[in-house]
Amino acid sequence: MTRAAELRTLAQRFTELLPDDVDEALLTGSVSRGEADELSDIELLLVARDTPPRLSALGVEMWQEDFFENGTVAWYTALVEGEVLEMAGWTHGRVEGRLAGILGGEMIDHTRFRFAEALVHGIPLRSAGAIQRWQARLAEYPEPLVEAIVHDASEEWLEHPLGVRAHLRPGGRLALATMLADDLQNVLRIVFALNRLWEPSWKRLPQLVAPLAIKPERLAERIDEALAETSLRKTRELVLDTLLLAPDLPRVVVARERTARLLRELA
Amino acid sequence: MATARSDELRALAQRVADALPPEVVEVVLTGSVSRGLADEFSDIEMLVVTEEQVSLEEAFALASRAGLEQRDSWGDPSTPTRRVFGYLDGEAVETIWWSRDLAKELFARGGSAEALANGVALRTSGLLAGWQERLADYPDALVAERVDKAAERWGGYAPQALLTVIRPDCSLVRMEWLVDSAQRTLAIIYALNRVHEPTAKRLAARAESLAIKPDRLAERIEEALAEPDPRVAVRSMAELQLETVRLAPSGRNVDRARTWLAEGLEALE
Repeated sequence: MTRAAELRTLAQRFTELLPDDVDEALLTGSVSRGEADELSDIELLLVARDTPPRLSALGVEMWQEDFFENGTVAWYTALVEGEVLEMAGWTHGRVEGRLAGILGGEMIDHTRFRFAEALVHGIPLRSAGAIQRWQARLAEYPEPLVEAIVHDASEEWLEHPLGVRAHLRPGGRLALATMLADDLQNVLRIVFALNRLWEPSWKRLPQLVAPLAIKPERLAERIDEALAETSLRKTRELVLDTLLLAPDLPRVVVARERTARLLRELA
Repeated sequence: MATARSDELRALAQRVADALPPEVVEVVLTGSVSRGLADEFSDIEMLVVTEEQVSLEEAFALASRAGLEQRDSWGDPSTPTRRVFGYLDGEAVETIWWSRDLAKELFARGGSAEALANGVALRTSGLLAGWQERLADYPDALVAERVDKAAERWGGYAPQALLTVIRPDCSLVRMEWLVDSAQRTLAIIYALNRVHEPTAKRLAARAESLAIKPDRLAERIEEALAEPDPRVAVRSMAELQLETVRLAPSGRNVDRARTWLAEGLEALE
């Protein structure tokens, strides 16, 4: 049995211990994609009808059980049969709210938006039918999201070249690295949107971007190079190539012009 | 002592402020010029408070009357904050426009605390002095709250998870982790020193003036971000995080982070 299959079986056994109020349990992460390796843990989304449960009552070893937002959201870490389980405890209302926010274009920041990808590729381990309904709502990538994401992701590239170059001061690598990491994340958000694909987390990047039809040349390699050298020039070259693939939104047109000007000044 | 460049840019900023009409109730010089640290990359940053909310067109018109050329805007146009960029005598000037009510609301939410604490009034009706008086009070409870919030993501889950960020095909995730860790480290250090948190620019100069901090704080952040070996980079940052939480008062997340980081460092060995 592969590591992924082993962990999936373990997750299934654990799910059977959950209280009835948790009527939906979804396996996500590398185990659900069949890619788990020795470092991978098990990731689960538990959805309760009422409030996320207290798992410490189950008799498993809990490393963490934190409740937020008046007890409507929980984060758990458990150790079961020597394996780590990372779990989020949500309510039906929260899932519905997040789906509406994503599909309506209001929750398109990377942190909240990538919930869609996790949900679409998740494997139901327990369900009264809701998971399938949620997955069906995400089956088709809504066309208006493409422009919404391109617009949102381009905001920082409107800054004037002088302000951008101020990140190059000696001893200012944190400011520069922060900007470059954001830039590269925004490049990827645009590329996934142009391909009408829900954006994932950015682990295993070469593998993630290999099948994409629309992307700048050597995307994953260039991201590695830009980060290895903390290179503003290489990052913004990639930004410009990405903007040239994007639709001609007013903001994109300005961002292209400013990025090109910055690159001339850096040359 | 202020740099010569700061004096020069401050005089230009004063010219802008003096040319604004009476409905502008407060003009605050912020950024590196207000702290006397301006260099060749620095622009002039100022906050303009108007009695009533102005439209972007009105802000453009007022900026034009104050002599700003090649005007432009940036940032999110859907918020009530107006942003006008332009040039005066070839120097870049960034102006942020708030109404009096918006200023009150944003200040209450903790926005721009560092910029205002170090701001210089170019025209005033007393707003800046009031803000600075309130910002001078940095009580213990605020220190504890900010420290524990910044330590929130350090711990609770498996320490071995640190090993996943050193995978060769995870360069962006690793950089995001390094940057996030550095920012949280600094948030804790600034809170422990009761200093309102500035931007990450000019970190070395800012860190120098802090009394409570790990040795070589700024240099170590710089080195970890430049380190080509992923394991060494992550280990250096985790060591810095651990030293930082050891300087912090005990709290739920701080206590958890102390254990988790120590175990994570062992896993990295």
